Amino acid sequence: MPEKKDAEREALCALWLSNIKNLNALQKKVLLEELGGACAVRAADASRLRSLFESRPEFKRAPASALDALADGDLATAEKMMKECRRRGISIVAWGTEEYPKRLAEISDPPAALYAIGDVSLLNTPSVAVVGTRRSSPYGRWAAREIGRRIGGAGVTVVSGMAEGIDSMGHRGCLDKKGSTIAVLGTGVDVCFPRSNRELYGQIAREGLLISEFIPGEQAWAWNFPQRNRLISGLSSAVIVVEGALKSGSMITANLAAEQGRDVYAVPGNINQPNSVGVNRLIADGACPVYSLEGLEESLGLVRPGEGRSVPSLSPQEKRVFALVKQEPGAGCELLAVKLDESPLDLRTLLMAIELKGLVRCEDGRYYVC
Amino acid sequence: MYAKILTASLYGLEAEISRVELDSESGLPGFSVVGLANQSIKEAKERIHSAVMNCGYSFPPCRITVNLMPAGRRKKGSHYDLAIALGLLMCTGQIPLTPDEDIACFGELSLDGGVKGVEGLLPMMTGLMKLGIGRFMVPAENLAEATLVKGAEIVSVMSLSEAADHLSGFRRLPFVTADGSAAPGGGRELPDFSDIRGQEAVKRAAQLAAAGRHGLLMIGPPGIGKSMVGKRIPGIMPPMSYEEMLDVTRIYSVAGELRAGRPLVTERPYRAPHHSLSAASLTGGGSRPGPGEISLAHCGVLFLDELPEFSAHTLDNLRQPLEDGEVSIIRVSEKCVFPCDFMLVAAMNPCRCGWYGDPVKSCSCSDSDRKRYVSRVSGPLLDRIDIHVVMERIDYEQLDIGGAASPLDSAALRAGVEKAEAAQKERFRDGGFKHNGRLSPAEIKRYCALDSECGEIMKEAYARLNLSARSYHRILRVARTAADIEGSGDIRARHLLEALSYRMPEKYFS
Repeated sequence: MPEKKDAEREALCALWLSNIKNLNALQKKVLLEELGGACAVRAADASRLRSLFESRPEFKRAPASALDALADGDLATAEKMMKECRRRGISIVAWGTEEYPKRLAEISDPPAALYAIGDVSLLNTPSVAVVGTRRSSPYGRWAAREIGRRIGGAGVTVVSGMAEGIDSMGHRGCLDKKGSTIAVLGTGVDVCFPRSNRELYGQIAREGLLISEFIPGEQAWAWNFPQRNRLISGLSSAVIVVEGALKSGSMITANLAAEQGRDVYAVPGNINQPNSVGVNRLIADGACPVYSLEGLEESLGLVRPGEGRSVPSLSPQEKRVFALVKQEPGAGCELLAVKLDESPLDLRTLLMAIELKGLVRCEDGRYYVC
Repeated sequence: MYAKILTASLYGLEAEISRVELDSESGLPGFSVVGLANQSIKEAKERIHSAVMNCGYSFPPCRITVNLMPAGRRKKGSHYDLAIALGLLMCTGQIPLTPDEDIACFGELSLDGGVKGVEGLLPMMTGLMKLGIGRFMVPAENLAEATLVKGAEIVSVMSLSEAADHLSGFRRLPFVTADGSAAPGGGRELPDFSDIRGQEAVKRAAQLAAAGRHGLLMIGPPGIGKSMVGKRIPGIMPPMSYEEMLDVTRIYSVAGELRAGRPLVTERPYRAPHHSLSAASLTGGGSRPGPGEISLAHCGVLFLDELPEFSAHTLDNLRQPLEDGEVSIIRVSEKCVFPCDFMLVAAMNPCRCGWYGDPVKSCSCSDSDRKRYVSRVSGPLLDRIDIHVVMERIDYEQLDIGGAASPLDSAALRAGVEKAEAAQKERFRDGGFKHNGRLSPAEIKRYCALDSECGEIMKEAYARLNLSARSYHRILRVARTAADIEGSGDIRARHLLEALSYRMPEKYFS
């Protein structure tokens, strides 16, 4: 089986390359592209490397020690890591292999190797990123989850960062509809951060894919997360920002996405909330506003499965309530009762009835259309 | 010479006969008290000395021994003063030994010989009545409280000399026979629900909770009126029966919380302890156990504002009393049982800053901040709260509905509660009365049967709402109350649907 052996060799060399500390991802990509794969980089002779270093502007600042590191083709560390990864069920996706995501390879600074747990085939499926703040409002959480559902339900992969708040809701929405989802971690792929997402982490490992460019066991260092964000946008054809302050990781992702040529969508928010200023600013700067869920679906070209699903029959009173919930998403019992001039008792009964028919959903005492 | 006077000692709410024996003999002058008396009784010596002298009697220089029987039980309280002083006058021959041995004397002495009011008189008197003692000498200050004890013959005294004159027969005081009729209620104006503008949904939840004595948890931003709702709940509960009033008064009497001029607690208690309270002050405790806040809220409302701010340890102590309706407190010296059949009303903010979910004000908490905040309330306690409501801030001015709908007031809500009360009484007319909030799973099966339509709803709810077995019982109990308010024998779809909408917001607490 020469092919399999080749792939393994390639993965090994990719690990070796990614372990070289004094070159950045940009420079590594030049090497990989010019020489055609990690194995070739390792095998390249010194004069070839030197001429590359001299000719390409990317290497202007490269330290001289980088050349020595490249010349030292010792695979011992890489082999040890590979063995360890295999033992722990972590697969390695090397640059240039069949499994390596094509879209990610296009960006200027892709990682030489990705560590993955789960279904690696998801890397080359159509995918959209849903990102946003960790300090989310109920509206943001609802929007992220609903968008995740719509995307996942249409068979498109949802990519996000598994942070608490919006990210988690994007993943959960997708999993709600049994869709496939990729979590790009800012820690080692075997580290669950934040710890409170243990359950989600397990579910994504089983039903989706966890990936990271950091070596297994890497802890949650603050500086790793912005770096990770380029992978979230790099993996996706579009990035949807649900909520985010002016200076936040979500804005970094949105900017990276724009640089990488991805479509950027922003969910407009309350102008009185700091966490909405960033997204609203994105819209001002030319991001596509998500003015409605249907508009988003259309714009992303999503096909809704079971279009024209049967709508449960509603009594006239229930219809009135349903129409108002549609108009006022996130309203609670009190507001709805006042607006409809119903007694709170009748309203609760009606709301519960339509909730059981699967048309509205109650979250934290607030009602939303499903 | 030897003298003996009758009084009582109190253990929790239970009274026991206590006899004070005095003996004087020649020897080195002294005054010693034996019989496991606590500090307040030991100090009686000094008060008695001054009181006796100031009433014109003498404190003869002889050896006086006071024994409190039964000698093996610990005793406390200043009500022994009068008994000891009278015994002293008798055993030193200053007043004749009375043949009237079955009058129980209570009273604290002041240095000028006046008799002051005492704590715990009501439970002591009712306890002694049960033991066959029917005549009492009480401080004038406590007369109104004492006359609550039906059939008791009471003589009230203002001073030690009056008491001594009565016992010696020098000047007899008239006995009053208590007929047990309630002293007129204080007529205190209770706050009314109509003071709250809007929030009609919460008022309805409060009505439901009060009708079935369900636990109520209100979640909402600061300043929205959570504590206003809590404060108004006792006012929509049916008036207390005389027995209930006596029960509550007994507890207040022991705790020394009876206010002057209001001997009988006629209104349902409302207790709103601050969240810094300790576990012992919540459930009751002390080396000689006394009632805690939950017992002081007996028959009324215990309102816990800022629920997550209470220490977890304190809140965990609520679990067993909530189920049993009484709390037993065991200390080295004794075990006491206090009733605590209260209704739990709790309020909390949705997050630490209080603005999570507000449409206008922004919340500064992260998800984990919020989770940390709400998780301070333990799951088992939440399990014992049947009705959960989320309150939202509404700008009524903007909605322009001013005066369109008249707000629900306490009278309207009380009418519903009383209807439900009657229905529940009817259900348990053969005894063992319980409010719906306390129905056991077996009773739920018996009294909360669902018809086929409701069965379908329940099935659908299980499929969609991720309900647990405990929440199933909670929902049925609330549905039962909703039906009772309407006077419906069976639980109908609308009752069940309403009850389902009060389930715990699981997502919020997970």
